[in-house]
Amino acid sequence: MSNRADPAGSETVLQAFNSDCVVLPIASILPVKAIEKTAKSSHKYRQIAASIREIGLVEPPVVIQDARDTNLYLLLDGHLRIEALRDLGQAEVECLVATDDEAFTYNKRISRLSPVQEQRMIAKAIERNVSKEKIARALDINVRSLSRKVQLLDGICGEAVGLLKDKICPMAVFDVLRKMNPLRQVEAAEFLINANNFSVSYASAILAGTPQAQLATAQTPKRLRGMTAEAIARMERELSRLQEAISSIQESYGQDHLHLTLVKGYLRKLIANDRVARYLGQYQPELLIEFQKIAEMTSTLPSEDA
Amino acid sequence: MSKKQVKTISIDQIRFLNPRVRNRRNFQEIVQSIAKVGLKRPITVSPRKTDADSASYDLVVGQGRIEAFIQLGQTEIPAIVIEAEESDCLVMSLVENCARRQHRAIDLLEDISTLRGRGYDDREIAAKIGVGADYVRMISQLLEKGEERLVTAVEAGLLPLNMAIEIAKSSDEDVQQALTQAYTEKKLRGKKLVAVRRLIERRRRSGKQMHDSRFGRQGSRRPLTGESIIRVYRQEADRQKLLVKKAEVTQSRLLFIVEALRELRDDENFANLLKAESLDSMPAFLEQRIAARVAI
Repeated sequence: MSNRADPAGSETVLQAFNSDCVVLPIASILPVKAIEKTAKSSHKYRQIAASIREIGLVEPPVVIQDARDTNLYLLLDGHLRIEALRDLGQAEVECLVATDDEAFTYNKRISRLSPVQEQRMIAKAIERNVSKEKIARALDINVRSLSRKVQLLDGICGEAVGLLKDKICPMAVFDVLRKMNPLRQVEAAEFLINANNFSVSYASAILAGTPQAQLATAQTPKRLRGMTAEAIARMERELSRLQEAISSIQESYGQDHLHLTLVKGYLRKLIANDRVARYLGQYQPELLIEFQKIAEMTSTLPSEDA
Repeated sequence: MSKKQVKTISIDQIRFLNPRVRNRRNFQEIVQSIAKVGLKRPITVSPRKTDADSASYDLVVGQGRIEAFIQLGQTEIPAIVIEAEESDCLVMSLVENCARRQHRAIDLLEDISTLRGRGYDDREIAAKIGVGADYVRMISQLLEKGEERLVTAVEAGLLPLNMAIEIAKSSDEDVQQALTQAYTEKKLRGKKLVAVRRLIERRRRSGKQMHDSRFGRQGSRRPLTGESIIRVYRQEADRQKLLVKKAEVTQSRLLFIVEALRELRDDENFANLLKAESLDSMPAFLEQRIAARVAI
């Protein structure tokens, strides 16, 4: 593949659509898959409909003429948008005509924007004088939630933002991080990533376990609804101990575990051999018993899994 | 309605209004796909009104496609030219990036089965979608078994496809063996290994299917109270404590085996017996540890 990406040997890239778009009656476009019931009541669907109302379709749906009935077109990409147009009472839509009838590639190459990336794009648009109202209408959110999106990274240090920039980490987590000082924010971001747990409640637990001195406003005493000062102090101590222990084992554990699996395989072979087992039984009976136990084990902690 | 036309324009004439950073691996996939099956959609641009620099178009959508074209050594790209204000272009670009729907792994299966329904075989489908015939066969096999979690991991580049197939047809114990093999063959190391172990754990515990909705969270969130924070913290702490404990047990068990085998090998009779039974070749790791004569 890399040789095709080499600029020196570049060939012309195939264009998989006709250069002329066609305006088609929506009634002549056949969806190739059904839209689930839940899809139409979702925020994504309302967002798509709102954006069409506000600025129209950005990219045309993709169709291909039906091989059997040339009056009909198969819809390859844009199922929700066609549905939204129909709901908005439109009769016609301009479509791109594909040269191949597969829908797979359109679906596959979609990458989700993380909240940090989304914040950057929205902030940039506002910086260029696009009104907040217009953006809010197009994204079907109210201006207040838009402002919240824009201020997502206010008070979050650059290093923590860097760690979380491509993580699908809910906005509310940033509200929690904001209450910590920069160093603690970086630490907290690492905890979230290590545990692969970006829930608000976990972030709040880390906040609860943050010593007073590492809060953004170190003077105001930390208050958590329904938690006593002792409970908070205990959590702080436990959390920092745990975090030390976890970071020291995380890398080695995976390897040790695999080594153990390999070694268990060898032990099994040993004790399955009659002569070896007899020898061990005679001269090292304790070892034989231990080997048997280890070889039969399927879980690391048999007593707790049982 | 005015009919849109696709024009081929020069890439250096396009200005990026609101560039986004993207995932490198995803990007390489886009490049490969375009190289194999061609460009599936033109980009969208709008003519520049001001002439502060030499660019004559503002990009509305298609940054990834342009970057892929550049990597493929192209200087021109097919584009739909629309007349729009800069602010509209920015909003369109936002909408395209923010209001997009996530596709689930299962949608890909649907797309493949639709093609099968039209009478194409796996080889033809592979050529159409720009992948190997093995990929079509294996990914369908996984999806038919409901292995959404594994397919998603493959799509995310976490797991090689053939290993996902191995995992899908193995019992829990064999999955460990498959992992071990991948590890010794150096196919899986470091952070990825940690991530795959986690994935397999989750698949064992919560099933093959993913339960998250592709349309974002639905229903209301429960308010956070002191108790719920403590509960989540407890769960996470217990999970981590268990992990620490498992790690300790694993390490001490390894240490025990190494010591035991070292002692046994020093016993000449036992060493001879192993040789006679062709059991004297130990896993490389054991050899090293025993030879090292130090504790782990």
